[in-house]
Amino acid sequence: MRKQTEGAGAARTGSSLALARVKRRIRLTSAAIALFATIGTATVGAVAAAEDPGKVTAGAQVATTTTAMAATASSSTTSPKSRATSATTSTTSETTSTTRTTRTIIVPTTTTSVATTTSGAS
Amino acid sequence: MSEVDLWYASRATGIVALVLLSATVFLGALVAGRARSSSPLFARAEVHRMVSLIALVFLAAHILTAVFDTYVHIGWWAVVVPFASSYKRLWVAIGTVGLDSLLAVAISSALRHRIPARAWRLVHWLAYLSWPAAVVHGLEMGSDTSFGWAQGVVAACTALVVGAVAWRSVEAVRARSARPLTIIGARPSLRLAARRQAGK
Repeated sequence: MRKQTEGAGAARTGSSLALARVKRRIRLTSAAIALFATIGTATVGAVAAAEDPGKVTAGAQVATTTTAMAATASSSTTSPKSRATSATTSTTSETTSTTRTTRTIIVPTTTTSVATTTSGAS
Repeated sequence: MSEVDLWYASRATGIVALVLLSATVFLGALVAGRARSSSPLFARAEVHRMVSLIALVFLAAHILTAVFDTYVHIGWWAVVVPFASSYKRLWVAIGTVGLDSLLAVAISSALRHRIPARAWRLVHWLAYLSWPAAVVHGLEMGSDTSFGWAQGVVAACTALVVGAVAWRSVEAVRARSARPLTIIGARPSLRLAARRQAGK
């Protein structure tokens, strides 16, 4: 009789352990799915931002402006010995047009003015 | 969060919500069809429930970001009332119908022990309406559906759900055709009547 009770108790403990294991597996699976979904959202958001044609346009414009600024700075350097150079670069207007796939958005105009004065001998 | 960020978030959460909704329907079909698996049925049902809850969270994020994005006007009413949006009325309305059916499924599942099983099952069938509504809404309104990766995601979701639903339908037909034989088998008089009817 006592052996029977002990056996039943052991079986009950075994089944409750198995149940706890299954429940833990469910929790882990759910957490993994939630994490996967969050990472997926961040990835899709980043891909959407990268694929936005407006971003490409803005990047190209900035690159062009930077090249123009570098060209102006190099042309206005007078002498290698006396580097008293006054390179004033004025970027008058930079309009960024961000085009959405289904709609168009115009980002307000930004004006950048860079005035650099370098003095001293090399 | 700027307007453009909200737009990106809306797109991302929309696609992930569709993936999670597809996973929910897939798991639901497997649970309902009692697919053979190493894990017990209650565990699969629990995972199905958890995935559906996560899908609802992402769907809520998708709706919130879409409504807060001021570039287009999708009012709060349009979230639950079809054809209330001035922006892309039909496609928003299809999304609204999908959401309403999903809410009905979620609420009926939360109250499962308080409503008859037959009523719960009937409401649960609405999940098969919400999924295609979500796909059509995404295809027509989604800004990314012109890109190959987004089309691939939608195609994978469609294959997953269509495959699971087809399997579930076949299993249901099999179970229905097997059921009368079991009942007849239990009662000799009915077995005899069935034989006579079959001309044996």
